[in-house]
Amino acid sequence: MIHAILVALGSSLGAGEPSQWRVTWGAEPAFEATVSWTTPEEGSEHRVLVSTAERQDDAQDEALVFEAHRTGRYSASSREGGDTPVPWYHHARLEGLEPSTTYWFTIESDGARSPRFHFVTAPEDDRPFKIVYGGDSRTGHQARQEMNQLMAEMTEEDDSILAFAHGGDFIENGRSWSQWRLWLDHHELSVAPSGRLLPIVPVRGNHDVGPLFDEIFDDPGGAERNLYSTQLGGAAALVTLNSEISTTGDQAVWLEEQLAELRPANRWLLCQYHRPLYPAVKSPGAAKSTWVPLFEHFDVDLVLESDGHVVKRTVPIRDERHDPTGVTYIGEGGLGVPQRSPDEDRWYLKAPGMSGRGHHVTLLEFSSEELRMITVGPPLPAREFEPEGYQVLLEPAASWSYAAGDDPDAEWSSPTYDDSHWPTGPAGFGYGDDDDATVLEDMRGEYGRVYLRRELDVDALAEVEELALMIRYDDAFIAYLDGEEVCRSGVARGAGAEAVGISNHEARRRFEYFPLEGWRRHVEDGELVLAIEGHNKGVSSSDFSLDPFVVADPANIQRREGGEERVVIDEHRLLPRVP
Amino acid sequence: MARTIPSSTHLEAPSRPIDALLRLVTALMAGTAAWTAATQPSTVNAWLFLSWGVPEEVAAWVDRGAAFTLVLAGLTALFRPGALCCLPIAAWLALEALARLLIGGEPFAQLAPFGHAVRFAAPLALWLWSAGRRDAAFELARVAAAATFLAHGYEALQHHPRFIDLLIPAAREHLGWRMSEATARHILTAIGLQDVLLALALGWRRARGIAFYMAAWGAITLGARVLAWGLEQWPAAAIRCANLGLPLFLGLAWPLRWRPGPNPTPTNSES
Repeated sequence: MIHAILVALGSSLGAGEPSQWRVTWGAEPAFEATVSWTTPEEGSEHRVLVSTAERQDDAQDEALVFEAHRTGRYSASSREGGDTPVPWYHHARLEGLEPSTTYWFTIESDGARSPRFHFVTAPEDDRPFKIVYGGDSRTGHQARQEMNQLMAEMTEEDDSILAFAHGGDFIENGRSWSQWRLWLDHHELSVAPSGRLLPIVPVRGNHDVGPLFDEIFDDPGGAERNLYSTQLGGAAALVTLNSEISTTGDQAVWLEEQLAELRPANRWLLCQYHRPLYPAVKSPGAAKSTWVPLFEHFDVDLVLESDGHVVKRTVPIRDERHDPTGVTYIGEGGLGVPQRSPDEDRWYLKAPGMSGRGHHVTLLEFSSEELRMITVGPPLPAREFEPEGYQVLLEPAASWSYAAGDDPDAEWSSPTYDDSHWPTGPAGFGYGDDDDATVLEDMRGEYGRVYLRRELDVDALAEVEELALMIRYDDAFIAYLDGEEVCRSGVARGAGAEAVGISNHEARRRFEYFPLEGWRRHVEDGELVLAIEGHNKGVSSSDFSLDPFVVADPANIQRREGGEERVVIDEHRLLPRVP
Repeated sequence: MARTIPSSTHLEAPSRPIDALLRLVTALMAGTAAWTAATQPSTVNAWLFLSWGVPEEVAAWVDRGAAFTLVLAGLTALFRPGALCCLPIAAWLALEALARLLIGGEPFAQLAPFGHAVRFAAPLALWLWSAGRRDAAFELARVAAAATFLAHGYEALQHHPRFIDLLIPAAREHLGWRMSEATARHILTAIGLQDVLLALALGWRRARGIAFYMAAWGAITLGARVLAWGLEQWPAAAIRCANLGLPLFLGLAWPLRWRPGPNPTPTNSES
């Protein structure tokens, strides 16, 4: 059972409830992982309840208990504290785990529990597995959320994806708690609907300055230093470097030692860091003269870079030339940041290398035969589609029945529900921004959800091929036809009071387009009720909007359909250096 | 009798080496900034594109426009210096420093306007010098050089990671010395102290030798970039030519600035 929780921090958080959950991998992810979370108050008892049983009943209230080994208050400037108390972080190290095993866990802080999640430990043997790599999520928050949802979909579809290597620049100002808070909120969207989450292997980027990075990821590779190696599988290791500290001194000595130790024991040897040494846009990082000779000397297979805000894969490089025995560099960051145009004339990006622009993550598939890299981008988001020449079935500013202040019972979206006691008003509904026809003046600070119902004219649907919702919303919504969910945006899981993972979303000037899937089968019984629940990210939010109307058959529907598929930007494979 | 400071009218006609030095430094910085803006996104471009959401094409046009202007202004500064060429160069270099501060993401980015002070002060000094306002040119250069050395001194005392990454490869490649990071940090502490003392000493009237020393040190620090990181880092060295140029200007112009004039202005104690 998914526990009802509030996701947003600050004033919208209930006392003591854990949120902003994440798992971090360190040196030996086959045997250990760190679970971290946030609570609004310090609390006194923080622990993680862990089991290998999928059903909580079978787990007898979880078999293993790991107490938090570290608790502290996030370092926020006094300016950022404002009216909202700065929350607390907690880290619990899960040790003694078994390789290639699914662990289900619940976070508990002073009796309040998180939803139940699970992750899979790294293999100790040589079985195939996958990880996702991406970087630069510091700006472009809408795209960041879409990338997180894309990763959640990928995780749900593919059990063999085990972890998420983030190449740094999580946020724009590493000392800003409010920016980290938003990143952590958005990170929850990367949790698959089944509750599976990908442990993070984090890199410190140039914008991730200050103590918060270490507070959020529990000092990966040592506070401020952030150097560590991760044994991803039986024959694959990932060395995480820090391009923001001195790259030529102690770090270079450490890198040489790590590569010397890891190379003979691993078929696949990878390095990751933030600033690119073979950049597609900027000039090379200061580490180039020191790290590249080491990468080449120890035959590193693949290097993961970020920072440039482009997609790139270099040719294999050795001695500043294209050499099939050389090192391949991929990157450079597309988890939300606006994408740049690469300098395609750079010799190392020319075919068989590649470069381009577009938000992306790269799936790395490790096996004994090959290391396959598939770089994918998200499908064309609904907001990018502007319908033209459509038929209006329910006009803007139409009258709707609405419930605000209390959650209705579970049947509220079904056609048989009696909404005669609900008030009615013209769309849109909300407060703030002066963009609402029905102003909910008591909403701010009191409640965060609003429910709408409206019967549609079935006769008008006789010749319709596609039915769609046009909506302006802030921050999230779920739509139902005759009680069955047909689309949602900005709600990660659950519904009503149990909705989890509410994203930030500002209502745009234009309406966004959401097709109502499977609408036709609901028409057969002669009535069609459209119900929409709107969610505000926090009850103290400065505004809320829910402004729908219904359209059919835009003339340019083909364009939207053409963009529905996940885009494969690049596909490439490396062969083992020693067969 | 109290010490007197001559006004600009007491200074001699333009000294050719000084004038040429300012022209060369300004033109070289303008050319380097133009080349950088033309070949990769400038800091201003990044600020517009990433922080302000300006379309990439528009930010690129800003870069191209700046590059074109800088080339024209740099060439003009070389042959006919004046406000029309010097002010745009100074403005662009100041904007770059400001953008670096605003974007962040660099160690000590908040010090960029101070660390880069000699860059945007050099074209301004050239403008003032060629307009005959030489006292102002001198004092501006003095303040800018002091600000830059203070900022760099502080960064060195804090063991700026890029400074460590200058020392170690340079020692390895050119001295065959595998310098440890601990040694590099000790050296940086000494360099930081030196830079701060040099900056403070610049306020002293008899600091001409110090100005020359600062110029030599500026030459070493810009040369170190190429020594440590290779020739492909020439723009990083060239854009720092004012680190050498402005202290050298001070050293050369010192006698003109402090030479007693034929008609000393009475001081308060004499009135």
